[in-house]
Amino acid sequence: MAAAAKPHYGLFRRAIPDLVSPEFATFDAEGRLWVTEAHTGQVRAFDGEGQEVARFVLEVKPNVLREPHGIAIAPNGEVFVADAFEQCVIVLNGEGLRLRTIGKRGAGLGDMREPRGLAIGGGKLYVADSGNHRIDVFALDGKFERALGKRGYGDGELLAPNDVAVDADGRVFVADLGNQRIARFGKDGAFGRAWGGIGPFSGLFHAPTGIAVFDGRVFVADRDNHRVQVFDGEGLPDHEWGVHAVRPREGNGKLHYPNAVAIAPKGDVVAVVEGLEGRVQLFGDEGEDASDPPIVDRSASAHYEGGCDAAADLVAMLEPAGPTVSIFDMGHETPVEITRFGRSGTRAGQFLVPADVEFSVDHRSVWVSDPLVHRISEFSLARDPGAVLRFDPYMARFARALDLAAVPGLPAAPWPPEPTALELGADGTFYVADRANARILAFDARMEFVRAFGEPGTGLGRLLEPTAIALDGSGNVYVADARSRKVESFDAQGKPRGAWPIPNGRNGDGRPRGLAAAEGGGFWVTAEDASILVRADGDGIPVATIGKAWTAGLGRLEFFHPEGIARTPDGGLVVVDAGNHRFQVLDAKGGFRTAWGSRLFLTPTFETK
Amino acid sequence: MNNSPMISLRATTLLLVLAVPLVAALASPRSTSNASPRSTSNAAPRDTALAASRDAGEVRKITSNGGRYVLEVREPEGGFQRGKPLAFDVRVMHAGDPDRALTDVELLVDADMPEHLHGTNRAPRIERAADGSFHVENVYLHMAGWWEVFLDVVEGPWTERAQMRVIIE
Repeated sequence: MAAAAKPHYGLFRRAIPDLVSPEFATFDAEGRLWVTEAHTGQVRAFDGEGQEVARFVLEVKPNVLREPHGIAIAPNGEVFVADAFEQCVIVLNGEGLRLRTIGKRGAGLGDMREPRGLAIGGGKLYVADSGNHRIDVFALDGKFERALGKRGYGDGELLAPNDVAVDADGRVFVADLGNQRIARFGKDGAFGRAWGGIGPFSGLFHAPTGIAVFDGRVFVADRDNHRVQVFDGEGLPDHEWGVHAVRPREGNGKLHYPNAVAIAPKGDVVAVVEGLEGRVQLFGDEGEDASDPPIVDRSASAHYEGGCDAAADLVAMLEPAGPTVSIFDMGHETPVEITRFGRSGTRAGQFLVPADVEFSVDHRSVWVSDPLVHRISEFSLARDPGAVLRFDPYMARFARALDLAAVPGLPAAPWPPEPTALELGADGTFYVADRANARILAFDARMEFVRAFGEPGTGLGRLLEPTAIALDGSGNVYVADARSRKVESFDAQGKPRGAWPIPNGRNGDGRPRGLAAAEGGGFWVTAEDASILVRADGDGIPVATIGKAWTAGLGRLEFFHPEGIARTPDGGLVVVDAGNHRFQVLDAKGGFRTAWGSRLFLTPTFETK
Repeated sequence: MNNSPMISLRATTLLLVLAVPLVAALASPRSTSNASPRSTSNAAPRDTALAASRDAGEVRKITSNGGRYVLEVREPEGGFQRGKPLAFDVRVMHAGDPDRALTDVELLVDADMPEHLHGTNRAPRIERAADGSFHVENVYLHMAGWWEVFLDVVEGPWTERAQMRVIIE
């Protein structure tokens, strides 16, 4: 008798909406779906009908939320949750009471940094230790056993692994995010094989962030390709599903940045987590209706994310999905893209995941940070403002790069610097946020290192996740710290001045993402989770809010997960409206000036009066 | 960019060498304002056609895109040609001291086709000679079109690029 055909998934069944930044999910033995919400500190459980049956709020201490990411459930019902706030795994019982903690922040074996996906198999806990570029293996009681992989690009090496899965034979599959591939290790920990590479076609990935295995097949959340790919255990493509949402917020089977995937114990349901859209979609077997996926142009377009900058009549935008940098001429009714540059790779002049962009003082070059390769790179711009306006793909040229891991004189730290935010002062002082070590590095006008300030932790002068830097006219330095939910201020010498929370419109603190000094003092900051833009005065007191909190608006001055912001020379603002695939430009009073990006996301903007 | 006319050098090959204006002389690593974040403004890419044709093996000077280095490139025997492993020699000097080859830098070589968004399909080999110069082999321009040959100078934490435009007909 012939074996029954394996399911061909892709049939939309239902959605679980109204989640806040869902990150990972797993099913328990009874078929309940457990979901982590990174930005609310919550773990939530849903039954097969999508009804919520449990909810735990995880706190380090009262009113200090954990940041739950990966989740796995042991056969005895214990719930393992990766916590990025304390950089550990916490173990809960079925009622949400913490039983024990596994690991701590560090680079040594048994330590972890930025733990992401978890898996349990064969009585072991597997942790995707993103910040240490390896998989940590523990006994379920927390005893460290071994690590798989190390930082690198070759066989058996990993770069920011984001998720892990274990099959019935004990083989370990890793979503090797930074290397855009899947890596497989044997039960004995030996490297087996890897497959993938960056690209839109079957078998290639654009940000493989989630992974699950079931019945000999490997399921991959291919986030920036907006699909789920299914492989056999050797990496041979089986099938895929997912089409980018055509209309904003569209669901019902359309996918938008799926970042994790989980398989029900009977194999009849696949849960696909879409963090940006705040939902989980459940899919089943398409059966006889199964068909080949449509051929879709998956080329990135207007996926503006991360930081941005403005200088003179220019604006620089990052499109990490490219990865590329776009330069716009703003001297017209609408922004006009005049060049775009960048290509994926680890060599000089290429990018892996660019995080911020900064014009030089004379705005004839731009700097780009790329944390996974520890590098900031400068590209010169051969632009003649008097020439005929046109798109010139060759306007930018890679000039030079600074490997921060090799800079002499930096204070010792557990990890090589991972540059994210960049900010250049008028005096030539160049500030660089070091994500890995939660500090700010300052260089003089000759790019000689001069000082570091900030240190890991909570409290005045301490940072957890610096995402943006701004400078005021007095030389004070403001740092957006997303994980600590505050804006920290230092004087020019790095002495702490104050720290201010950002309101999130729900009587809580928002996650600051972008930051810019405000005209006349104070600062503008985006609360990414609440989708609002807040202006604070020089004492950190909020004085204005733009956008409708938590509404995912599409109109003018409405935002969906806004990220970087930059002040224009005339006191206006550029806002990366990342979730809406566009950027908006505001005048000095906070009024709408213009927007640019994906057409479908712009139409409502310009229809709104 | 690309405003200057290109001068045909050979029937099959045309080479443009970047002539980026030099700024202040550089006496030591990061010792001048040329290393500042505002530095490359004076070194904005500007392609300039060669003033004269050349013979095989002729030496050309290239200024790096950041203005820090001058590179002397002795062209391949027979010039840059398609489908043939090419070899050439490179000397690297600080722009402020163009007569003394640097012996404490590394050189990385690659080639790219900006209009096709791909590079070369072979890995160049680079050896350092006793006099500090570099011998580059196995540069392979496998198809016709616009190539950029990248010469990346690595000195301490810095990597700075010089590049040559090569048109293969």
